[in-house]
Amino acid sequence: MALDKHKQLNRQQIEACLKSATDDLIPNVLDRIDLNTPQIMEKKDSRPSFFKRQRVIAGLIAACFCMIMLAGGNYSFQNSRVDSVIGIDVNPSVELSVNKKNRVLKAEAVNQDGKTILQDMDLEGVDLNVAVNALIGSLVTHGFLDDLDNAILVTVSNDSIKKASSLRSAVVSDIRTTLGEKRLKAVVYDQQVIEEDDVKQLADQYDISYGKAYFLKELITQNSSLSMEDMEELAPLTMEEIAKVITERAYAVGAKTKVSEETAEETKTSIQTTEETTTKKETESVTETIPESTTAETQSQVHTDASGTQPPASSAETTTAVTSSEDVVSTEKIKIDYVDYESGLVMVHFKTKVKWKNPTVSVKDGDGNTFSSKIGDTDSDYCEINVTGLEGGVEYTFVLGGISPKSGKQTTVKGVFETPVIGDGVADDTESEETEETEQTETTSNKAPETEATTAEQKPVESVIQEGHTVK
Amino acid sequence: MLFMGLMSFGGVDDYSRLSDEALLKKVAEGDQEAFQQLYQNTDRTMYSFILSIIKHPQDAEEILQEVYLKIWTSAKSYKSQGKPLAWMFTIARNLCYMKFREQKHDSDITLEDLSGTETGEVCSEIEMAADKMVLLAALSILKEDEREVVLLHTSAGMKHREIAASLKIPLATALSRYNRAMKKLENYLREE
Repeated sequence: MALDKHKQLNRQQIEACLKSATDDLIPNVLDRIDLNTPQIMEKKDSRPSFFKRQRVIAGLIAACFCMIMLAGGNYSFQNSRVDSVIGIDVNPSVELSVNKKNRVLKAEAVNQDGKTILQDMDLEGVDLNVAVNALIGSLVTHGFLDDLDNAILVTVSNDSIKKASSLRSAVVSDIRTTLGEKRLKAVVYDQQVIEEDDVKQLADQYDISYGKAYFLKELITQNSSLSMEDMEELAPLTMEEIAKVITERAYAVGAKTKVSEETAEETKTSIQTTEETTTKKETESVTETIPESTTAETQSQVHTDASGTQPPASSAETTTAVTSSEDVVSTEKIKIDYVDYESGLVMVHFKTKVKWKNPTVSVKDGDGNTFSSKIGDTDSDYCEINVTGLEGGVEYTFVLGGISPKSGKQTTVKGVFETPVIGDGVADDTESEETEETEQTETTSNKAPETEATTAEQKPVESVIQEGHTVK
Repeated sequence: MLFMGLMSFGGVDDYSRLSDEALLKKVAEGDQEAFQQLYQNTDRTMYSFILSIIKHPQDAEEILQEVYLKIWTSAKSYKSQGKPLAWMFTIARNLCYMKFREQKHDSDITLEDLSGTETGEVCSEIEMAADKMVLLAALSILKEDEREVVLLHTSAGMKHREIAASLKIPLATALSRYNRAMKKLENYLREE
């Protein structure tokens, strides 16, 4: 029934129905509204909420900013942090602080010469290899590296041994390349070190670079004949001079140090391990240059003589110097004819022609005590050594440095002489003589003086080794 | 006394003449009388609007109460834009949706409730069976936006222009929506 009615509904009726239905439903809730409810101060609330939102946004922006700063800061921190320090000592001492990416952060001169070297150079931010190249260039320009007798000490300081050794080989090869380009030869000592306080103190005390201090300390520890007192003597020397001392006295270089010699020939790597090779090398060169020397094959003999005692010396009482048997000993190139001693003057006559450059000498007795000695006249087949404080009747060993055969590499020559028993060379009859082996550089000579036991007591005079030495 | 009576009469007269906008401003100042006047002016509209969304007369009543309480408490946050109803509708719509969320009621479920167990109650309030039938039909077959337009026009007696302004829709949209909805309703009721 109702449905029928609905069917007839038109729009107006529907509207009316809806109106009356709602009218019936509409409640009166006014009484139920508690008007005592406090009104909210929306306006004030809205502001803070706006600010709150702003604050959140500002916070987010700040957080982003912080993240960026942190990332960037960390990045730049990593780049501005000193990762390794590379010390280069010739005489000028320079320290390069590099970051992880091997970029130079700071180039610091350790001594006055170093300042000269670094003058007008801005190495900051430069790649390490470029900096090393520039340094070597500057060393050459300022005359610290010349045609002969160069020694460079490279010290790499890094906490990571792996990194240090890779850096070390990189720097050494850089130096080698640069030297090669400039056609220079140099002995390159390289070492990697860890910072130690006592070495630092040592460096401060003698006002030398950390690397040099470390090198000398190692040298002293390795060689029993050296003591910390020698430090005083060694510290002011240039690396070239130190290298010479090492060569002359045949000191063992610290195990942590490598030595490489930049020459046209093969490179020596480690002094301690390359005796054979060095000797061989020399032998080769000598046979080339002095074909007359028939004793090239006596290399082994040299060895034994050098390392063993030296019986020939003691046997030779005669004033005639040239006992050929002894001279056989003399190696290939530089042969000593005979040695005379007369009142503080040792006269050495060579069989072969020699050349001199910055000659040095050291005189020791069998106990290893060193005596004040000085090179006097030098000639192509002769030289004089002034020496003081010797006693009579004792056998002494001298080592000449800065000497080279007429054509050949610079080397050292070792010989033996004996002072006359009567007085201090008052008598004319010089005894000593006969020399022996000229020995090649570092190799064996170290042991020789120690084994040459002589009975007489020596007055140990503080060793003054290189008085005759003129630096360049 | 007469003077007092005149004064009070005059005062009442004042409020009844005020626009919703002005009343709302007074409400914001804590004027209870203005609130009562506002209630009387708008309760039908608000109820129709709420019912069009919530479709459940009892829930609509509950929400109506909440809406007016909210209007009372939040009147200060009303920024005068000449559309007080739009603001009130926003409050109502938010509370309705909140109600949906609270009860996890879907609009369809509400409809089932309406036509089911609670139909009796709904019916009890509507005297005429025809009115009830039409209302239930409108609530069941029309979409929410259609219901809003239809109920606001028919039940609340608002003009299409006012509806459009309050719902923030173009007048043409309001009109076409109303016509479409009424046609739907006519067809539906004819079939039944």
